[in-house]
Amino acid sequence: MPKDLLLFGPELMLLGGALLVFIASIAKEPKSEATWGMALLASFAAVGLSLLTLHERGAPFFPGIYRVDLFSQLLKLGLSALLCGVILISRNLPSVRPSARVDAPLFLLLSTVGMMMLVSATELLTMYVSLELSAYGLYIAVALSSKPRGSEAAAKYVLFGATSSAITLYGLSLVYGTVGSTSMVKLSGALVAGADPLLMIGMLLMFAGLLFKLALVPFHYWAPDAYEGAPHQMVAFIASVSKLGAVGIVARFAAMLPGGDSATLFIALSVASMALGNLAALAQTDLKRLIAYSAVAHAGYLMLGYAAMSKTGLAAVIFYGMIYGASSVLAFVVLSALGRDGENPTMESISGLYQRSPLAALMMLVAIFTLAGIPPTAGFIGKWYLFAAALQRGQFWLVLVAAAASTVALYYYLQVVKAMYLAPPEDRPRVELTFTDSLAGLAALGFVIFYGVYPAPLWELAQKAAALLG
Amino acid sequence: MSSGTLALLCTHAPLVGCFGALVVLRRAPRAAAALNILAMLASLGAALAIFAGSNHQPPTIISLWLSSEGVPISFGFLLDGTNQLMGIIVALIALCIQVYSLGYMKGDPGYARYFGLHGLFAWAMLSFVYSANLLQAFVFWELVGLASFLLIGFWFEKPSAAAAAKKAFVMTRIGDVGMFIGLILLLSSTSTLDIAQLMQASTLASIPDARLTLIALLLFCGVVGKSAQFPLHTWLPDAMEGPTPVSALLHSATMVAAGVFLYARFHPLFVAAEGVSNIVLVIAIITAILAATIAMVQRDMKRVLAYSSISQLAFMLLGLGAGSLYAGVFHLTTHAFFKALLFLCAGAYIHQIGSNDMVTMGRQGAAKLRLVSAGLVIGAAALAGLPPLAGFFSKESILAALHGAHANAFVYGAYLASFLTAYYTFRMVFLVLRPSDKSVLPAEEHEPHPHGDVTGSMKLPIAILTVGAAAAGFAGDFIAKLIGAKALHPTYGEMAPAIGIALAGVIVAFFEFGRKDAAQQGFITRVGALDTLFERKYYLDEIYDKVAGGLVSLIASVSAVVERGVLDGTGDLAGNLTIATGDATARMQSGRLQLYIGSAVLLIVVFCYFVGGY
Amino acid sequence: MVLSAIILTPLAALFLTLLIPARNDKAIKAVSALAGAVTVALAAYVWFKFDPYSTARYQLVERVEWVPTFGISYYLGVDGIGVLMTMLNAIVFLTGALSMWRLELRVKEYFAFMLTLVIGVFGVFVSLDLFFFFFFYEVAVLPMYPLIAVWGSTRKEYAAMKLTLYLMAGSALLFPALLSIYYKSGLNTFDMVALSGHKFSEAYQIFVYPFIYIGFGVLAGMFPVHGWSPTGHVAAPTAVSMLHAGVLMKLGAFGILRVAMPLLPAGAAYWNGPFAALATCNIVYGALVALKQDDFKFVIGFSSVSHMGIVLLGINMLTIDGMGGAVFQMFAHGVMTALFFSAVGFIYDQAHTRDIHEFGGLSKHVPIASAFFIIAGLCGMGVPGFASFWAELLVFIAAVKTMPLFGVLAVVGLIISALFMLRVLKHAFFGPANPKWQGLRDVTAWDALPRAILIAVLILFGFIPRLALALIASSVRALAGGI
Repeated sequence: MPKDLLLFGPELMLLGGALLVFIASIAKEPKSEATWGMALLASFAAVGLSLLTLHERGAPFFPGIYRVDLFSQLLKLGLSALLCGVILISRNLPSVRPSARVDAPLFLLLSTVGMMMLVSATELLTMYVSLELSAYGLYIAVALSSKPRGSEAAAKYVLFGATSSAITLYGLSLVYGTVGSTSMVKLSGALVAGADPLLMIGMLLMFAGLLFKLALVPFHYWAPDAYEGAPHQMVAFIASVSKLGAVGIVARFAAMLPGGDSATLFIALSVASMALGNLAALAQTDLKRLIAYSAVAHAGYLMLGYAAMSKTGLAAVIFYGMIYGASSVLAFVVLSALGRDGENPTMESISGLYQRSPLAALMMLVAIFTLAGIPPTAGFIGKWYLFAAALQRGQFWLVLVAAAASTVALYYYLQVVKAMYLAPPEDRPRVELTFTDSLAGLAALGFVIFYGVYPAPLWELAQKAAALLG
Repeated sequence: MSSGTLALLCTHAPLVGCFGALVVLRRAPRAAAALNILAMLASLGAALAIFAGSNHQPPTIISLWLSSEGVPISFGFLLDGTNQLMGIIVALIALCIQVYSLGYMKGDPGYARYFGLHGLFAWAMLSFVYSANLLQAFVFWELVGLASFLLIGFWFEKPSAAAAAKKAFVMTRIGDVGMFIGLILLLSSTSTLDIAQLMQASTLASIPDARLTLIALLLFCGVVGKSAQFPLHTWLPDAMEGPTPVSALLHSATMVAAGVFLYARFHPLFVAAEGVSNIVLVIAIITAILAATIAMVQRDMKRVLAYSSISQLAFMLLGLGAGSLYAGVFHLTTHAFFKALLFLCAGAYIHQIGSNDMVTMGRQGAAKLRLVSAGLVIGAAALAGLPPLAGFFSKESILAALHGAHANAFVYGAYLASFLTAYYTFRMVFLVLRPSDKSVLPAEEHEPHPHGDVTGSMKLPIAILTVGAAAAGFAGDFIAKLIGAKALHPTYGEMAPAIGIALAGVIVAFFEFGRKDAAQQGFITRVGALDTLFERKYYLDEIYDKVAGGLVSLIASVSAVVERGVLDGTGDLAGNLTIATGDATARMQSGRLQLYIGSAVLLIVVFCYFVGGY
Repeated sequence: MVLSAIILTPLAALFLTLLIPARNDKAIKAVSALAGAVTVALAAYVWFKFDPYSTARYQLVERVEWVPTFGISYYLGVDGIGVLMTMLNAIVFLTGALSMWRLELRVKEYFAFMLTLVIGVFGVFVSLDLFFFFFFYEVAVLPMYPLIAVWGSTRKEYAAMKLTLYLMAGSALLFPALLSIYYKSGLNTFDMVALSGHKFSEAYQIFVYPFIYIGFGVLAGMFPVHGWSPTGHVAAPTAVSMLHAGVLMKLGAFGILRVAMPLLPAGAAYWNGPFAALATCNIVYGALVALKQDDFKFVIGFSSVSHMGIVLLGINMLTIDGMGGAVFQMFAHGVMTALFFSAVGFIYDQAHTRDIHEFGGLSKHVPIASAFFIIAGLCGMGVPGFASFWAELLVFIAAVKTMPLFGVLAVVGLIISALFMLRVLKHAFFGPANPKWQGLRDVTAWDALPRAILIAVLILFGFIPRLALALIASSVRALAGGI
């Protein structure tokens, strides 16, 4: 069935790419250049196919289990584009063990396939399997680090991830037990019909597992250590592709929830995340750790959209997920260039970046402004939509807290700006951006500026996608 | 030319001079001076032409200047008799003094600036005089103050001049604030600030009594500041730091007269306001005596004249407060002539001898300047109120007005002040013109620094003003007709005591200072305490400085501490607390996996408990 | 399209600046100055094109749907107030660019950030869409950070951070308030004109008004959240101080006039008493603190706090006189402060100190440069003949009439402002000439140009206040009439 194949195209492309990379890596003298090129091509193709199928609808292969619609394809487009960005900056992997450099793209591709399936899954087991597929890729990716700290980070990541998987699975079993089906459609119907406490607990437990991906408080503990210990590019992947995938699946679940208590819970988690993430980030000097805490805070902002329990809220979440992914890629273009010696970039090592590479400094500046939500970057619009969604539910004080948290966040963002633009470079080396680095960076930069000034196209897609949920 | 055009010419010609001197002709001082004198001539011509035109013209409104909802302000000229008279006086005196300055300021590096500022002043003062609207008048009133500030501080490198300029500005501003509030109250009570309209009985009657009194008192605050009345008088003597012609122009004849002029302008209002005239009289009598007593013990000639100005301005207010517009305006006119004359004479001595000290002047042979000395004597006689000179007539009419008023205490007070005036004036004359070998007065510490000879351009104005000081007293009826007020002709019975008192003052001064081998020691020195009190100007400067200045400084210091400590401190504290919380939060991330997972699971259990109800 | 052109001119200059190589600093400066001149011309065109007697409140309107599903449109238009403010920004932009002619440090970035700031400010003044208003508002605020932190002086990093955080905290108050207005109206539009037609419930207006007022008030230097402004003024380089005190602070007051009051008239009527009280604190307290400062720029900084108090007081009178005076004061104070900082900057650039006690008799050494400062000082004291006199006059008249206590206190504040200005003049410009400054260079004709432009504007509007008052009259009437 060619139509079905086409609809499954992006996943197939990445799977194919993964296969090629696998074959190339078991060759006698594997070349990391070759596997990198293959992965790049595959991700490009995936982008193309996602675009091609953006407005298609259907259920390839297994009706009721796998769904292709604007929601899934928009997210797949985002996932593949972000993957592209990550691979573009992964040509050199200084912080990956030399022996594993050839294999690294494989895990990225496989994990992304998992993400893509995750956003299309409409059946709980499929969802769970996809989730695990994407997670295993990541576990290994984190473990590829050449540093001892990397193994420690990976161990924590795996253990924490395994726990959360277990919780999810337990929740899933409870849900299956009450609903008698693993179909999300049936589940949704059951949720509407009435709130069986056991079902609610099951939902909650499943959710907990998903929130782990988002690094929402209290499931965030892994993030700072994993970000710090993992290779730069793998962190870029976690911060962009993996985050967007999580945003998608949480959106699908959130759309099913009936509101009420869960909204209150979301709000509590949102406030806790914003507060903890932003406050803890104040004390960081390791930039990857800083980004990790800022990610916790951003999970809190995203939660505002989920807590709104509305189409606007979900659209805002999708929109913000895309923007956040792009800004992460943008930031890691610079951070990975800075960390070319394998060390983690710090406030110290970024000092005087402006003199060492004006373009890199500009990219980092835009990335930071996006994260901080300052116009004319899309981060501003993203926050505007998220906050608007919360206010639509009359959450005036919640938005006030969120806005205040953003003000606190500005302090540490500006510390980075200060280091880049004000501190003297002293004898730190120039920072060279390779062609592919620049390509990824400029694309991301263009993306956040363009949608910062003219958000309508992306916003409308996000709105249409959100309308298909629930 | 229509009278409106003439008024425009009269008021704005000096502005052209000002602009020319300050901007265009900065490097051509002589041309700047010439331009300003020409402009002043044009002003005088126009002022005379307005006068020559028909009398009592209605105000000529040129245009609506500014209009907001409740503040319609017309820019126009009120060309009635009072204004015509004042316009001519201002233009004439200003012209005389500019001519005089040609010689006096010769060689000063700021020659062009000096004339430019003169132009600025003349523009402001003339525009003030002809204003048809109280707000317009207030604008120029403030500009007069500005010009005065700049002229007092003309020699800005002298710290004393810089301080005096600041003091003058601040003290008059205190009065102005009161006046400004009064003006706003007047506006909100009548919704007009048109002077002619305001002075109509029907308009005044429409204001509630208490409010009218309040308005009158507030307006009077402005008068007190500008005309240097107690308690805001202390700036005027210090203002003598400016060049002497400036003192002659601003601090005797015109600027300080603006306050009295305003009072005269609003005479109907002050009369209608119950109880205000008594307050005015009290303030005026205190000022007259206070200033005269201080003048008795000064050695600096300009300071004597400065205190005499304060005292004479108080006299004018006495006349006005007693209800006689005529007496006040008449004295204003005559005073302009003789006081300007006295200052120019003082300037001539200072120029020639190089010292302000009267004893030094006398010993250096001031009397040799014949024309100047003649002017001094005539001016002094006029100031002392000796017949038949200008001051005599106007002072008599003030005393006559006071006789008519209810409380006679004021008359005796005025007699005392008259006596003191005659005394200190002639003390000055004798000190300057009749140095005594037996004088007990010590010589000045500083060597005098002569500037140069008295030039013809300085002598001419002195001559003109001498004539004025001698003759202006006969213009009484003319002035009465011009301003439309009833002339007062005191009886001989009323005149006799006044003449006697003035003569007594002159005679005492002669015995102490004027006769051959006089010890040149005033009777007041025998009462040491009083002498010191007068010498130290009743300690008012110190009191103001300590009390008011100290209070403001204290409040300002407290504010500055609040700013640094409380407001900034709170902001910084909030920031530091946030960062400290951040550190604490980050430290919670201990890196122990069991703890992470344990706490996450615990939280889930807690949530389950709530959600599931278990 | 002229309003778009006003925003696009500095934008084009920004791109051009980014393209010019950094070593070609003269060209970069020329681009900015030229853009400044063009915006002045465009603002003048708008001024003449704007018909104050027309019944259309907002004119020269441009509208393009931007995010239709969210009710956002690119909607520009000006009323009289907007025209006046646009002109102010254009003038300060031009003179600011000219005042930085001698800058040598990192010229390219400096002008890039300055142009960004200018774009934001123009955007705020001409936006009629709440979203774009806020968008440009934020664009205007952020460049202050690098501008102060890189090119500033005196605890510059602290000042820059403080300023940014204060202003962002203000924005944090605005964010929920503006969005809640959008939803509360139920109109699904950010069009401010449409929103102002909607009648919000009184209780809601009273609840949300203080958030918007204080949110904008922070930028307007409102007591007691003004702390960022003097510190920021002091630390900022000349042209940034000019733009900052001259224009940026006006954005706050403009926000109150454009957003808070038309949308929430009942809120304004409810809260005007307490806010007028705070404005009076601004006036008196600012002047008192200024009295104790020894740094030139701190004196001016606190005088700005005091003068912005006059603006806020006028606004809270809710009468035509008061608000008209306040708007005029925004303009007059903008030009005046620009002159102040321009004059101080010239002296500081050579002397490298701003302690008034270290100077003395400057009028002797640099008469013209001193004259610029003295003129600004006179203007600051409210001397007639300069634009600010009329503005203050109207505000005081309105205040004494409407709230006599605050009015009288504010008028008494005039004495203190005379005191602190005169103190500076006395210490720095008068008195014995300090031989240390013998070598100071006086202004050249080129240096004098921007300052002379500012003085000319002050005097022009000081002599013919009707120019501005007629322009804003109908807009202010509409504004006051709506409350």
